[in-house]
Amino acid sequence: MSLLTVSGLQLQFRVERETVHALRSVDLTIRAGTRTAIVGESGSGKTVLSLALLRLLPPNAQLAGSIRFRERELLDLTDAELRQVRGGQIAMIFQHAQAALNPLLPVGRQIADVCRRHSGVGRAEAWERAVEVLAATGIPQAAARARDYPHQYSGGMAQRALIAMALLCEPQLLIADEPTSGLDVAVQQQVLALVEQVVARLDATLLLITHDLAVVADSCDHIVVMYAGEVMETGTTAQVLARPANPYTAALLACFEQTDGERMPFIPGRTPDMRQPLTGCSFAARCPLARDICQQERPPPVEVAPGHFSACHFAQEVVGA
Amino acid sequence: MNAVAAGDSLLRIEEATKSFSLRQRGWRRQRVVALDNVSMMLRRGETVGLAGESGSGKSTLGRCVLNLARLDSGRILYQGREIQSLTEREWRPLRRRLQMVFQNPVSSFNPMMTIEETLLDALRQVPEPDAAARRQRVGDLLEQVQLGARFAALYPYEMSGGQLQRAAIARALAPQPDFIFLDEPTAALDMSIRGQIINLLLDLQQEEGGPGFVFVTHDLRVLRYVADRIYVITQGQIVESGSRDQIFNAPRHPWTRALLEAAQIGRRRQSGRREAPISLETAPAGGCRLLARCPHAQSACAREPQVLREIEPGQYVRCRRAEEIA
Repeated sequence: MSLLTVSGLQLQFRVERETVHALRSVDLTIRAGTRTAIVGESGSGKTVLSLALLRLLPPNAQLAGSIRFRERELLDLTDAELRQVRGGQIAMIFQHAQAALNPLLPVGRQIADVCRRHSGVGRAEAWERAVEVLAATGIPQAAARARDYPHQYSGGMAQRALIAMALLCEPQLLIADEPTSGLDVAVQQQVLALVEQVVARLDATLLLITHDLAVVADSCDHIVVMYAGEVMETGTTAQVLARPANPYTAALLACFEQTDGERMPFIPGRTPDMRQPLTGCSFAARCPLARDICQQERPPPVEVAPGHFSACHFAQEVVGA
Repeated sequence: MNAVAAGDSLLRIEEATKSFSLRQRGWRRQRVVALDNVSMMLRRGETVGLAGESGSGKSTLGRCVLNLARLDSGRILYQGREIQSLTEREWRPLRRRLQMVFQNPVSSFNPMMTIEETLLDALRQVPEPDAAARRQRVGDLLEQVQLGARFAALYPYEMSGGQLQRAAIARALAPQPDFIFLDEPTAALDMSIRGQIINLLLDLQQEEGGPGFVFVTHDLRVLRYVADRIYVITQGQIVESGSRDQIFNAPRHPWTRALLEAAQIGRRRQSGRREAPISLETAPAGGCRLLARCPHAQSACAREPQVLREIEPGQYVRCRRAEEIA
């Protein structure tokens, strides 16, 4: 059953008489109970996509298309309805945990506030629940630490506190935007393991936004590869990592592989100018396989294997290679 | 490390210690040890990798080497001369011989200056006969970093991150330094273009009489391509050092191994998907500092501080279980 269906989603930002095309017609289906990674590099649109799902966008954003979450059209909701969805049914963990917390309030108070807002319980009970979830995310001496302010938390602990906050309302969908960036490797592993535990315990669906393919392979069962505001490839983790069907995915994977070669692989060229409308494939300018058709026609998604789609005119050749 | 004759080295750091004092809740102060007895050495023309997490002390070390910060104790010898005791007048002619490339290429350029103006500014430190020769030199530098002369007229905002970082390397090369300190030069760049910078360094290393590099990174994987020797640092201490092959083929310290694993696709699957220990406790005083994070920790590790010892010729490890872990 599909939990979230995004179709024809377009997002533009008006910036000083210019239009930045942040998302160019994104289609996506997330099934309940899956753990999906949205992978992309800077400017690929992965973060704005996650913000668009919660409609957490600045006033100069123009959103068109459809986002259906459990048979409800999110783009049609009123602000009041949206507030129930945010945090309640869809929770989000942000990239910089320290920045996502209010520096002027104790961490426990911020978690308790979320609890009161969504469950309508009293002050004392909300505080108890806040301490409970902090303890559940592995914060030692949670009752004492709940009274501390965010600056007294380390990066890993702040991320745990955010996870605790997300856990509180038992959301059906958890969006984690680069939850491990800026943390050291040992703590990264712990935070990822915790996210997985929480998702499993709640029986929730996970959407993990990341640029790091190394993270994806362990934590997710599905991958969505984005480039320049478009979805390039989707499939199971095994399909995409073992048999990439899009030249961009293949080139990106090569950059991550440990090679014994003398020189480090890279993708020549640069990402297209997001202010210009695109004709043809967004990766054509950097693609080793590009031919005339790639400059002229935008490739539709091709199903190369059951559930494995690639937006490339030569998807069959790439996957066969 | 200490076995190498002093005459061989361009730069030596001996037992460097540096701590900062942080104010916490009123008057109480907490001391943070950024560098704890760090010794390292750089030979002429060599590339040394310094791998560590944020907060490991690697940037503090860089600032001290460039004489931008002063050590609490320890010595920094540049061609046998202790640099910290130099007066400003004595230091100035040496300063151009030590250059730096910063992590964020966009913020390390003056947005109001073209690339040519920036490079001309950097060239003021070296005597050049005339303006024409300087302009020629700008063109040469841009060629050297594989950008080409057409970039001279561009402003930083017109260039991509990878191109700007190459321009930053050109700027560091301009005063003909003896070594360049690269502070996370690829961290702000996407994975797909990091190779541009790494491969450029490989080409620069081939050039006769070129500078040495200290390459600071949290991503060990890039050091596989460029480093001759590697130091792994965490919590202000070097936990392992050795040649590139020793570090990549036979890493002995659990922390080095964790750094290597972190960069691998499917790392946990390979290592049997063990449950990561969830512990935020800090290590007890006196014992190994990495105790709480170490999968190999034993109770004995909590009792004695770990010392750096040579376990293979040229390979030093700060772990009492180094031999068993191999």
